[in-house]
Amino acid sequence: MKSMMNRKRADRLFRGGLFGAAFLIPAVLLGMLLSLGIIFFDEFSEIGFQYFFSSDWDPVNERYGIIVFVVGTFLTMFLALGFSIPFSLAISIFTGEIMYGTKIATLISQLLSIISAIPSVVMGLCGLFVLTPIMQDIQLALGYPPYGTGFLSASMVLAIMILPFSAFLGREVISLVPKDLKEAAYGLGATRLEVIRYVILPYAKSGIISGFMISMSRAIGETIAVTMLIGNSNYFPQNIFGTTNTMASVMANEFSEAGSDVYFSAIVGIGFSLIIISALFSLTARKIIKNFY
Amino acid sequence: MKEQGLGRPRDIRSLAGYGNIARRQFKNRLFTGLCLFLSILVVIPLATILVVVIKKGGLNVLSAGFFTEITPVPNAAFGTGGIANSLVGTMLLCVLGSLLAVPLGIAAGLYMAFSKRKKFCDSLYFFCNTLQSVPAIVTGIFVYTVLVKPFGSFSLFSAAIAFALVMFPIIALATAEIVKLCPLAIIEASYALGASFYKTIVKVVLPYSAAGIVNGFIVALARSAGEGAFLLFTAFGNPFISYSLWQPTSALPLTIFQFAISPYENWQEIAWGASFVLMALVLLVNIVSKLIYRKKF
Repeated sequence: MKSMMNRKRADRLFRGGLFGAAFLIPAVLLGMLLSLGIIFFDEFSEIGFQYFFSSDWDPVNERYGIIVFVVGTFLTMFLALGFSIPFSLAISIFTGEIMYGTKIATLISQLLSIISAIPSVVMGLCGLFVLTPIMQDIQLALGYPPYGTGFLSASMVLAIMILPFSAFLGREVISLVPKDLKEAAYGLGATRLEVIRYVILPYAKSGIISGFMISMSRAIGETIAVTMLIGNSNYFPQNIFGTTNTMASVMANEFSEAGSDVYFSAIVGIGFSLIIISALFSLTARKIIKNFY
Repeated sequence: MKEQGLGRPRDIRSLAGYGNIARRQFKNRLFTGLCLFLSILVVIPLATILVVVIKKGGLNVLSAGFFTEITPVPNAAFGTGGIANSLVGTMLLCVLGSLLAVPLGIAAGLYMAFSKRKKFCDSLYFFCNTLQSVPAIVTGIFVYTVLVKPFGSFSLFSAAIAFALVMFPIIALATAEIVKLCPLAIIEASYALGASFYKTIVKVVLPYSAAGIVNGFIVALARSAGEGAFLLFTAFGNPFISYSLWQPTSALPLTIFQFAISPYENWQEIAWGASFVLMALVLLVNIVSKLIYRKKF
């Protein structure tokens, strides 16, 4: 009888421990929002509402506006997404349907997982070494100042880095399309392209889109590789090769220079905005994937 | 008749064999070829990166003392100095970060998978996904504001916390996913034998899902160890080997970042060598996880 009591107590303790660990998840998230929010809004009277509307980031004259970085972030993100979409779709279809379960599909998946494992700082370094000289040549040939770095270079490297996330999820959902649907279409005399176009893609649409959402949120948060490649200037890009800054890269760059409290708060505010953006992204992704399952 | 489900009527007609069959088959072959071509193209960036890192970094590693000496001063002679301080820092971070994140992550994952409060668990999933997609640099700033600033110094301790925070949601999600695959039959069999919830988890569920959990842990470890963003605000870097929990420390991604963007050529050489080492470590860990996973499933 006593051992029974002990076991019940141990069980309760165990369940409590699990709950405590799980509770850490919202607690940490809330802690992040609060600690960054407090520092940000502490100096908000100094920073002012122009923070969200101005493109003028000039710490020397105490003027803080993050529009340049927001634009830079979304520009690199959408460009990187654009570069990676054809490849991601092709790989998802190839490994999830055309060659599903074969050796070559496994090989491609494994290559992708190696890409996803490459540290971002190594990506950035290779980008600097390989991509920048090529870009410089192109810029010289086209008559632009040959910086080599810029949002185009950053987007290209970013495209490689975010590719595995959407490709993996795409492969998963495409391989989950019910066999009878596909076979019904084949039975009607459809070619494989038609089955993919009219049966598989409509069925797997939401899963594929949420794969791209994951890629996008990775692209927004990517810091080190982008910082190395984007050129770090606090202006809108002047042309297609132009240098600019993203929200994450400006934090990495200017954090150590933040002498005054206001400057520091302005940088923390960028981090605060990034949390909000990631929350919005994962909320949207959740809405989309809910339709799928 | 109202059309059901997929596509518009035009689509259905084309499925039913209308149109030029030769053209449709040609389009199909073209599409298959395009998919194959685009998929194969992935090899190019990967091969480029591997070749460049091995070519630029592989030689440095061979130099005497690369693993035993600390990072050199700027403009020192080529081949002098090494990455011992960063290597020690990264190892310490991996150990401390894992010690914190693994038990907590597995426990949180178990709760998400087994709790009966479905609504609450649903929002836990959402929070976990959000936490996972919070950029590492923001995690770094968060740890800076709550641990570095109050304590007055960058430290290995704060870096380990940030390291664990990056790993935690990844492990939790991986555990939750993998534990759900455990067949209900063996869980119920365990209950039927009179085992408690605790015993069932420890003796039945965890052994069953061990390979998957280890795989999730290794993915998280590789992600966290390769990430340099949060180290800027927590570890800060240290030119000497430091084992102290309360001193700033160096780490591989941090050294690579700082040395690669420096104007000193000997530092850039060190950055390539360190890239080689970091990449080799991360790939090794990944391959090991694949082997473990394959053995089980």
